[in-house]
Amino acid sequence: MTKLTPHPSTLSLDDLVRASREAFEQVASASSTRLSPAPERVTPADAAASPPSPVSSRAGNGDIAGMLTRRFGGWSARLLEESWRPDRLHVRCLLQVGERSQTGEATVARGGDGNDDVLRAAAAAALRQAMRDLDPAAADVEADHRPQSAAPRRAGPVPAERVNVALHHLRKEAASVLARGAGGTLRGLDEEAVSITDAVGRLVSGSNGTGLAVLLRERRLDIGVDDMALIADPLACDGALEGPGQVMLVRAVGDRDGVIGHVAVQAPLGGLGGAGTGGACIATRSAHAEGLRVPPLRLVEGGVENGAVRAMLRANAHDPALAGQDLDLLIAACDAAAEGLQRLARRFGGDALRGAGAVLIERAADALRRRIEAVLPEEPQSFEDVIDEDGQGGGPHRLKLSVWREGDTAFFDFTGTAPAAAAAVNFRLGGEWFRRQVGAILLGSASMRFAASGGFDDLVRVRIPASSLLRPPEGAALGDGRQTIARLLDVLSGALALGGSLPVPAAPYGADASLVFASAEGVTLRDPLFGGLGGGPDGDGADGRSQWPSSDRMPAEVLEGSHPVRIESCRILSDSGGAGRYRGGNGVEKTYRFTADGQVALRGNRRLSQPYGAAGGQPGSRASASLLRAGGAREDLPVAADPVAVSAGDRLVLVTPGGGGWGDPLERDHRAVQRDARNGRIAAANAREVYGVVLSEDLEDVDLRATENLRDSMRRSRRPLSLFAFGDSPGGLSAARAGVRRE
Amino acid sequence: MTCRLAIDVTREAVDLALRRAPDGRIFSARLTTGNWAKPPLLREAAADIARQAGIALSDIEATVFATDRTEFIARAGEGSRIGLITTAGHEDLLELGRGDTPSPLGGWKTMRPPAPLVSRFDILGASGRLSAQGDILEQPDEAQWRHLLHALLDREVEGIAICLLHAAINPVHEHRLADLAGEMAPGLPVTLSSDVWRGAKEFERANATVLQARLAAGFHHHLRQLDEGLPELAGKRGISLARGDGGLMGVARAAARPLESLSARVAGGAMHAAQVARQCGLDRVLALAVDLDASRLVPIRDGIPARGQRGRLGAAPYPVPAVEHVRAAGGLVRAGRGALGGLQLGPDQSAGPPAGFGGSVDAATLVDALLVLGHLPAQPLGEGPVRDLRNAEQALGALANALDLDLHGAAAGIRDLFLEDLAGRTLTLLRRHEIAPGEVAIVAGGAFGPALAAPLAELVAADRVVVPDAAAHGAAAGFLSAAHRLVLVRAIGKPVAELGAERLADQIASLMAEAGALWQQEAADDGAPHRTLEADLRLRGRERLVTVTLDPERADRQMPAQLAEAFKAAHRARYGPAEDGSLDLIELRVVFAAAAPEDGGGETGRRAGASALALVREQRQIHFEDKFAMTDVCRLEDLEEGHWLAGPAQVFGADTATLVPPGWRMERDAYGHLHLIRSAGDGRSER
Repeated sequence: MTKLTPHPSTLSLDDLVRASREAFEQVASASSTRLSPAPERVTPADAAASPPSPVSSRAGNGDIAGMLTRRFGGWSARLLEESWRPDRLHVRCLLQVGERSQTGEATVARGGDGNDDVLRAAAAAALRQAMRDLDPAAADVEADHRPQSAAPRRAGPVPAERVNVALHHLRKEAASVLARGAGGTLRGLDEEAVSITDAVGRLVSGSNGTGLAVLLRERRLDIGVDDMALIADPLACDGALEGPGQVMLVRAVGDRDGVIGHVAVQAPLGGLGGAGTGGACIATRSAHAEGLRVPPLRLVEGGVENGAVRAMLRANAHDPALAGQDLDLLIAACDAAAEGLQRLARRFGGDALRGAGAVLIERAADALRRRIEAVLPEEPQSFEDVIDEDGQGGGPHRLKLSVWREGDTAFFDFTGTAPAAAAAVNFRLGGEWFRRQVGAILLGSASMRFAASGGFDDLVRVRIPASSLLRPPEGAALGDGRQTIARLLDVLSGALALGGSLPVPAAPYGADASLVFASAEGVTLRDPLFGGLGGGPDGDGADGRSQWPSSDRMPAEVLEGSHPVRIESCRILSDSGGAGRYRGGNGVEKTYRFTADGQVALRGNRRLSQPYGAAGGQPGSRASASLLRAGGAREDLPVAADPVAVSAGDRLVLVTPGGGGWGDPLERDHRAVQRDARNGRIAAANAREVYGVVLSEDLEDVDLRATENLRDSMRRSRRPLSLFAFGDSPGGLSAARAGVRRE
Repeated sequence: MTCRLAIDVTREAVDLALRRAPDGRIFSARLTTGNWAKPPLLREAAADIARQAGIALSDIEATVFATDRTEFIARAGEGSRIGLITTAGHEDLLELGRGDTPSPLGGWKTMRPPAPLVSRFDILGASGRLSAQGDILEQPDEAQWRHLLHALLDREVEGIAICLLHAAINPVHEHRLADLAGEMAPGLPVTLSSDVWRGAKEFERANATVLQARLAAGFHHHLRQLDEGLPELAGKRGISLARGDGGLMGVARAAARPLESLSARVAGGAMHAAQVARQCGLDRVLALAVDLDASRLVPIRDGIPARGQRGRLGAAPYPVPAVEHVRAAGGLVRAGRGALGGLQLGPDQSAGPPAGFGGSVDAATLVDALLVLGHLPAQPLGEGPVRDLRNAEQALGALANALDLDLHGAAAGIRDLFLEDLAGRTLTLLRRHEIAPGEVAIVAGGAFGPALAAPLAELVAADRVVVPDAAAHGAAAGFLSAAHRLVLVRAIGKPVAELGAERLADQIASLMAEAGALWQQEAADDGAPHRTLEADLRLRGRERLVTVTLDPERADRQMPAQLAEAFKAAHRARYGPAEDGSLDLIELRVVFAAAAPEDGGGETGRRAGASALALVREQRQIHFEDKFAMTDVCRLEDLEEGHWLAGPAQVFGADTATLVPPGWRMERDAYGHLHLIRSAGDGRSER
């Protein structure tokens, strides 16, 4: 007889069968109960003809060792008897728990399963029977851990894809909890707020970095399955949090074999930061003016919430009630994600889930490897762009990126990037986040969609100079880092496209502009403004549309209903998008008339430089801000400024940048030019002067012959098109941007 | 019980359902047509089903029509050319919209915003300006208005939509513009945003106004055809139109408010599932319909489909209550090899019929996979499409080769991926409605729902599936159990304290009176309606909108207190305790609803009966998990109340094939519905 003594935390039924296989054979050969030919001689036809048996070979027996361990802790089992028939196997097992013992029997059909599978199923069924007889309460244990499907499904022929789809929906399900948010911030969030990583923190499904791989590797995060961690510090999580006021909640999900993965939910929380106008962080010069930063700590420990953490967050929030309610929802969303992952672990099995995660990570990494080899040059190429102004009198701040590859590894070197600013435009660039953006461009340009970027680490090497704009020192202000993120994406796109083999879009307007108006009566208005998106190889850039998810425009009726302001106009600005085969989206001109005194904070960029055009397209137009005083005086303002005093009757005109155009304007479809002219998206004169399209006076007809002739003539007389068009920028900016070159 | 006929007209087919009085027996039929069947064909189809039921057309007391015509007009741009007049300086409001971009980050690189419903060329700005309180800040220049109207008339627009800033608070300028348009172009339809949706801000209001204006002309023609072309179907109660919230309305209301008929077919399917749920005594149900073009999921609680206060067409909301549903891919969804390797389903769907129904072998679809796995029969059911198994195998074969899978592995992969997507959407939907997955039963409809419901139930941990009799004709059958419904909305947008008890009571009284008068015109024959008063409330400075139900009889001085009390209770139930603060009343809504026709119910309708083993007509090889199993096949027509069969089994009905996987047991109830119940052990052991 063989004694099977499982290790409580690692033994699976496979181990049990494998470990005892030799003993089973011995038992079998010695047993007088073998009444049939050896199993190997049973033909598939025999098996197929077998009638159904009382015990399914797949009836959820796979977790019997786990069930026994959970119920009894230490236990052992012996196979007493096995009886092979052409169509079935009968076994009898002895289960020993301390002083108590119990036998169990089971018969299973042989069907088409392998003999090991049949033996495994029979032993499990017999042990389950013994467990029930030994302790009727064990049925509860069984119910708790039974897969949700009574007839559990084996992972199909494509389990990785199924897991991918399931994880995507799991993130949506968790994000749906946030829709109950009290403030608009949470309600606008979607599955991007939820990420799922594997056991070591590699992203398996998500759109943002989590920084968990670094935190776990460096042992700065230690949570059990009943804990929930809270992090509210961009510097503490490899830049996964964009800036102050953002929090991330994390839970681990595991099975008896250890951690399966983590879920993370990221969101802004009820205004934790900001000492500027209306709580904005544009004017801050150090982290100390940007509100609370929280290193990783346990918000929930052993299933019990740490009330002190909640109290601390509320005490630091601009709106404590809102922060408390939003925290509840974030916790609920994180729990929902963890429950969902646990549910998938039960359905697919923990190991299958781990395996599928690894496959997804590997597939995306393989694809990225191929793209790196296909489109990146072996010689370094550099691209530069600037942040014109930082709102504190500084700027331009240069971002420089050099890109090359060595074999299948891509190198991204930010040497030459400006030092950290004494303003809030610093951005702590996280490696994980950056690698994901690289993947988004390289894979996205080949229509390859991916969610698992956890395998990009070895393929994308990043060098960021210390104390630079992208690796600011402790204490540097980060509140307006979105400006830098926007430019970083422009530089990344540009650097990748320099080789000419990657058709990336032209530059979009950049970070959302915004107006914060705090009236003397204490009412604060916040209004985001969007600009034109860049034209790209597959179409025009959109007019006046946000570049960033979870942003939307405030209706004029809302602004006027709640604040002392009148929106005199909000227009798409004709011809502000760069011309191109696919034109850049137009920017927006919005005119506010204040009806009370107060002060204004402006946030924006591209007043001096222009969003670049690409592949022969022209650049988008610049941003501007003008204050028309009630007395008639006009003041041109920087687009990043805080504070600016305004009086009742003053009018502020904000103009957002247009996106760059893509491709040769003379190749633009004449019907698109005609449509734009009719709809006022380009001036009628520009149809001829820029696009070479000859329209009738009423804009209803295109003279095709004249158009062809005009375009030919324009082609002959113009200068050669360049890969990038930056437009004319004042002084130092032109020099800075001239650095775009192959090195 | 009245004898009622429901006719569901789609572009491709007409579904009919007839409930015969007095025995309540339901008859159903489908007629394949094209381009929305016209009255002569509808009359013929009605006569056929009446003959089947052994009655004369004149015995039909009421007829309900549903159509997807409105959706088609709205989506495909078939509506009339409309001019929009808005406040000068805000002419780009439709294009700018809310300015949002789709996820994930980087979506902007390929973002193509939806085309506005009106070309920017046809949007003009009017002078005059109101404040947010409705005060006139700038008097309009009528000469400029006349100039605008002339410009639009010169462009031969077929209707004019008007949406001015703050018209929801004070529509005086909109009314004056409409009068002027009436003078200059008598008979030209003019639609005002202050009539269409006072509760919305300018972008959503303008969008809904334009949508209403576009639908009006096209739909009006369709309604006139029905009303005048089918007098013999009017019966004693006249013709009714199906609403998107599962109710019915008269032809006049439908003509005036075509928005209310959007999504009517989805609502019909949900009403049918709700009726089945009531009959079976199931209080938490998920209606699942899987057809060629799409799948739809609707949660049903206590026999009532979930209704939202707003419908949604694409991303744009419109101001009409509608049955809430989630849409997913349907049987035509196309499978392929993903760019990263592995199988990928969608987002495209096959342009023509699936290969297995005689279409091109260039696309492998879900239907082809179900055919190859045996989950759909290889022979056509009833009048259904021809089946071509070899074609389906050929379509899948190429994909299987590309994926290095065997044919059945590829087919199972397609089915599993489809189910995984459906399961994910189901779980999100149930969480949004705070329903535990284990509590729901799935009512399966559509052409393919019965073949997929039990496997879906396993994925979401549900234990019961009901496949109704006539599952494929759910929308038409659903309207047999629908009743007249009238919803009137009044935007308020003021603090409750500022309104005061007296003005609040006046508002409620006038709204109830208006609804009462309309009810008399529309549905007097249905008797006194059940009246409900609802209010949307929010705390000042907060965004959570809380809907409360009020007692209309208590519209007195106690109403402000009643509002506050109801708000606190509803807030506590959904979000936890509410803060103290000023309460804004956003919108009042009255709902008048006639009593629904009797549909029996409250009982499961099931009783123990005999095994259906003796009725098994054949055995087929059907693919479960990763291998084929010999499966018993019955015909639905052979099964009587109480007959049961353990899975694996398959039941062929007139239009659908119901799959009973291993571990499930099927029983037929007194209503003819099939109940699939997941058993704890192996279903076969019950034999």
